[in-house]
Amino acid sequence: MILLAIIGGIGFTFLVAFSTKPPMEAIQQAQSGLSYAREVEAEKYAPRMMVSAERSWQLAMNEWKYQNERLIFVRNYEKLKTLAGTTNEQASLASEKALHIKDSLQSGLSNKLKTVGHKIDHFQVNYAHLPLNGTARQNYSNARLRYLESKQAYERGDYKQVGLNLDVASQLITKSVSEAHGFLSGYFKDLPKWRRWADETIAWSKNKKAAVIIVDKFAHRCYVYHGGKLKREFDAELGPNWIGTKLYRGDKATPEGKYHVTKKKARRETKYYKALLINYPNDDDKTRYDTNVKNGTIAKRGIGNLIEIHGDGGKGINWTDGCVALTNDDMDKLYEMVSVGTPVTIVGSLRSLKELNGF
Amino acid sequence: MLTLASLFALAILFTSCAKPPEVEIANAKAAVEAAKAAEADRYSPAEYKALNDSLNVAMTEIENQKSKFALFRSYKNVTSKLNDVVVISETVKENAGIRKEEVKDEAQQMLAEATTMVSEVNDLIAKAPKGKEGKEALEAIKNDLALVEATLAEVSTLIENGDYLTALDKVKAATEKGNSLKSELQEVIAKTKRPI
Repeated sequence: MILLAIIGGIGFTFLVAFSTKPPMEAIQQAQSGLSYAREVEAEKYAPRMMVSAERSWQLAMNEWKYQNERLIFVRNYEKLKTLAGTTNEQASLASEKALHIKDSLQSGLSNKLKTVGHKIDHFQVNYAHLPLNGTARQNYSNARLRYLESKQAYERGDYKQVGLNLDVASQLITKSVSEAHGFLSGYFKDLPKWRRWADETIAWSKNKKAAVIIVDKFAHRCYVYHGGKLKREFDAELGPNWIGTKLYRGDKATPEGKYHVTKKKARRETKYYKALLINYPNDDDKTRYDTNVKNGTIAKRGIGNLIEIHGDGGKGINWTDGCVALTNDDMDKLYEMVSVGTPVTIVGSLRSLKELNGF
Repeated sequence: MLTLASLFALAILFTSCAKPPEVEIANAKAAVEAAKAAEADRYSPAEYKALNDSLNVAMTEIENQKSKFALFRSYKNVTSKLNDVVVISETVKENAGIRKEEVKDEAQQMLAEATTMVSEVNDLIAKAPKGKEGKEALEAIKNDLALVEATLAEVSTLIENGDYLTALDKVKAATEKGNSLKSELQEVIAKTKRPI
């Protein structure tokens, strides 16, 4: 009896000592793998892979529990080991993918932030100050706000938030630039004509050995040539709606065309220090006005008159009713250089749009 | 007789073996859930992750003990770990709360400052000359200011909804834009007031 008990005890001890042990190394590796995957935000950047890894881990734990409920002598942890290994592999892949996506997202967003930032700066420099039609400025302002928000989210590493705002900012600024560029491209179709007018005016100056005035509206410059050579140039301010020629009374646009000085106004004859009255509207202006009224493009409200080059400028903004304003010092100089009959050619621009803003 | 005695002794040993600390497990799980509910994962992510890891390690250790022969099981260490999870979770919750309050305060303070700035810009618009000199520029500034005001309204809603991080991003952007409008406006006023 005693012998039987001893044998039984030894047999039991032997079985316990040599019973299967759970694969702790594989389990710990799986657990570390999952922990690292969570650290690198695999749930966010590689969600499907992470779900697979989590599912495998859950299956492993269920299997472990199932085996633990069995008698110690019959437990088998092979399936648990396989599942733990699978978990670790899937977690590693999820981490790898998350890191890759995060890196490329970070670098992609960084580049996109730069691109959108450049577009916003480009608009700011080249278009924001222009009297644009439509929603270009509003879209630009909205884009800038979204861009600034994106920058904040980027700095705190919330790349998903960056993406959302940046996409909207990119669309808005692209739309603004495209709208502004389209508007200017239409306007610059007259560039060859403007250049021809300027060339003809300079040639006249050379032939007659006389002074001429050329106003480049886009450059906001007023040039004085004599004998075909540039003698002086001044800063010029225009009407607020200076892009496009003058069409009718009160449109606050500065006309474009070939004119001449019809009257020199001294200090007591004008409220703008000194002035050179020009013959706006000329025949071309009148024809255009009549055509526009006839085809209904504009109402019959008068073509306007009293366009001058005058003083009181230097405000740094376009504020006149369509005249060209110089500082009083510059007006003094110009006034001395010209006389009644001096040609005054006003053009949209002498430089192409590409020369001006790179597009 | 002896065999019967041995079997009886074994039965005693089996029935008196250690049991998993079910109460501590439930408490630790609830503590981690509570930390998440306090948005520790958002406002104190590293600490929250460490807390979660501690719970997971403890849960694995429980299964490991269950894998042992009943006589050799011990839940003493794991119970201590689970209790630690509960204690640490309080710190994590507290830190997340502090960080959340900091972000909330910052967002609210910046919102108040930005609201004041909007009033200042409106005052400057009112003071600006109404003549033709500044009219066009003022119109553009007014439109932009309306955008800033709309953004500040969004910030208020975000703060009310408890999304302080997004609110902070927006209010910072609105402040920057508002400041640029203020400068632009001051420039316009200075230009139009320039002596001739």
